[in-house]
Amino acid sequence: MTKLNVVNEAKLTVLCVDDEVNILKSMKRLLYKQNYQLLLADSGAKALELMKQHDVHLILSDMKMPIMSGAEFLEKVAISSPDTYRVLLTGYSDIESTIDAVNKGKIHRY
Amino acid sequence: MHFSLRNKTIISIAGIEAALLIVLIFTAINFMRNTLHNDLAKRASTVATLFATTTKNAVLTYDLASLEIYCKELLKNPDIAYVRVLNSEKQVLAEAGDKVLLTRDFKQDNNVDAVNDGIFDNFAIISEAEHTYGRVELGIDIINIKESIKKVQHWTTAIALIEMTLVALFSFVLGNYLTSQLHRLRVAARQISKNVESGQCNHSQLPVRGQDELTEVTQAFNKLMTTLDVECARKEAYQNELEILNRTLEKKVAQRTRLLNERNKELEQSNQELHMAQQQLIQAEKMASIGQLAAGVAHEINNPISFVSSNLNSLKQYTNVYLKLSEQVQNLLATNEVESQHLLLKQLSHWIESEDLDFINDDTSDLLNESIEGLDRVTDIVKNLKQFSRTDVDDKQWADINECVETSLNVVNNKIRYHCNINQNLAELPKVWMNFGKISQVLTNLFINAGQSINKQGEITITTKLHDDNVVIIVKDTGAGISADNLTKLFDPFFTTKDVGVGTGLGLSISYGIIQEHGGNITVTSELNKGSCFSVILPIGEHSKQFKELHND
Repeated sequence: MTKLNVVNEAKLTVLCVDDEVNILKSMKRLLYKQNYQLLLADSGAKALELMKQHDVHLILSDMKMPIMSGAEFLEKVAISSPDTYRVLLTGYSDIESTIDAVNKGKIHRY
Repeated sequence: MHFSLRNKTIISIAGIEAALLIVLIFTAINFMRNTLHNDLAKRASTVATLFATTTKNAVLTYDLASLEIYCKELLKNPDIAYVRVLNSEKQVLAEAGDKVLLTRDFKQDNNVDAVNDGIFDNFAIISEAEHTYGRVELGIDIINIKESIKKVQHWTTAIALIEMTLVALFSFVLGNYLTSQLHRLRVAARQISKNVESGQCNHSQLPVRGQDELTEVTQAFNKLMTTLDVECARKEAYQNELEILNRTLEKKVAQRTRLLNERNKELEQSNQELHMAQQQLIQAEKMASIGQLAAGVAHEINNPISFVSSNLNSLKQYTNVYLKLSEQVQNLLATNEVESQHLLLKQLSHWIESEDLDFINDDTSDLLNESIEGLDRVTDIVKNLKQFSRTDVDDKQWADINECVETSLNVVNNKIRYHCNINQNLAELPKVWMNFGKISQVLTNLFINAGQSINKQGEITITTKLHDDNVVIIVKDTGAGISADNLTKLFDPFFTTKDVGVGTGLGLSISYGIIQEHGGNITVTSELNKGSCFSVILPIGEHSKQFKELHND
């Protein structure tokens, strides 16, 4: 299920990626008053699809996702659009995934 | 009839002796009698001839007185019974002697044996120049001779009897001597046979006397007895040795038995210790699993909590909006002036637009539902974790295997969900008498293993079904598989192919123990690079069968 809600016409576009829809929704709630264009995707593949259509400035991605993990997704993003500001959001904090994220995803925030 | 050797000897010697004696006596007496008889006949003839010569002159002269005197003179010989002198005309010239004998007719006896009247009758011719003048007749009493012969007979018989007695005595003594030696030998032989039967071996030596054949036999016998004694003693010694061996053997057996019992006790103790250790291992493995799971579970719990908390923050904002809205509505209601009412209304509609009230109205119920769902998820996870950690309780209960599968899946969900497609083919099953915590530990272990065997993307298929009186749980993965070498060691404790820190090597070993404890079995088939298939077979138990029947009815 992909939700493509354009909340506000503005300069900045934010892409949220998480396999948990509830989390996407709560993110939407947090950001709905802000002056961002909000894109939501429940998997890395769909997020990559969205990135082809939109110029995304900020990516908030979950780490643990089926098929394509956050680190893998961000690794691809780092190659295709290295200027995008990448933030990894996760409750799962083992050192291996952190190292993966830093090395492969070239993340800015963790 | 039994004749002893002695009696035989005596009888035979006596018989021979008797026969010899009879022959001897018979011949001796016969010879003596013949001699005597011949002597007598000769004497009679001589006497008659002499008397005829003596009386010749008297006969010729017919001197009867002289003849009478001669006859009387002759009769002085005691054995002359009678005498008679006859002339040629057979007239008696003179006679003397027994009147009875004189009156009977004369009849010459040619030999003594022919005598039947006890008198040997004989005669002699009185002649001169071949002219017969008369004859002399006389009779000799043979009673004396007969008596002599009888006496001799008696004597010889007596001597023979004495001799026979002596011989009998001698042979008795000899026989006694011989048979006494033999008797001793016999008694000794009997004693030996009796002793051999009763197992005694203390034979006194027979006394050795003299230097005859019997002595040699006795010596040989003594030697035999000595040998026998030695053999017997040896046998007894062997027997004693055997008995001693036997006794020591018994002692040894008793000792060994005692040792064995001790070992047994030790083993039992070790077994108990092992059992305790195993329990601790199970617990430890559980803890390790929990440790492995903890991070995942944290994520699992963190996710809902984070969005619930975020939602609550949003709700707080929404509530603020609603409070402001209600305040403005109250203000509007409190104002009576139309103008100010209008102004307030305008402000309100503007505010509503700026606050995006439509979105809030739409979203509030979603927000609450999602939050409730999130909290439910947390509750579930906590509940599953609690069930999972219940291994320390040994109690079994009636439980649904499918429920157990769900619980275990929930616990390991975050471990496998991201790279595994999980297919569940759960059949309707009767309840099984089992330790819920332990069985979920086994299943959790199998799920984690399946998850870990899948490197990138794969499938895990969980099937439950009823087979006869058993519940079968099949966990199939499309992972790396297990090599045939490792397959045999799979259930060994501490056997692991995982990296250090990832697996303890105890999971399957403990799972095996748990399933065995439930009277079930766990089997595995695997193919490298294709995947593995673990089957857990659990008996549903007697009560469960009844339960099943009740349900079927």
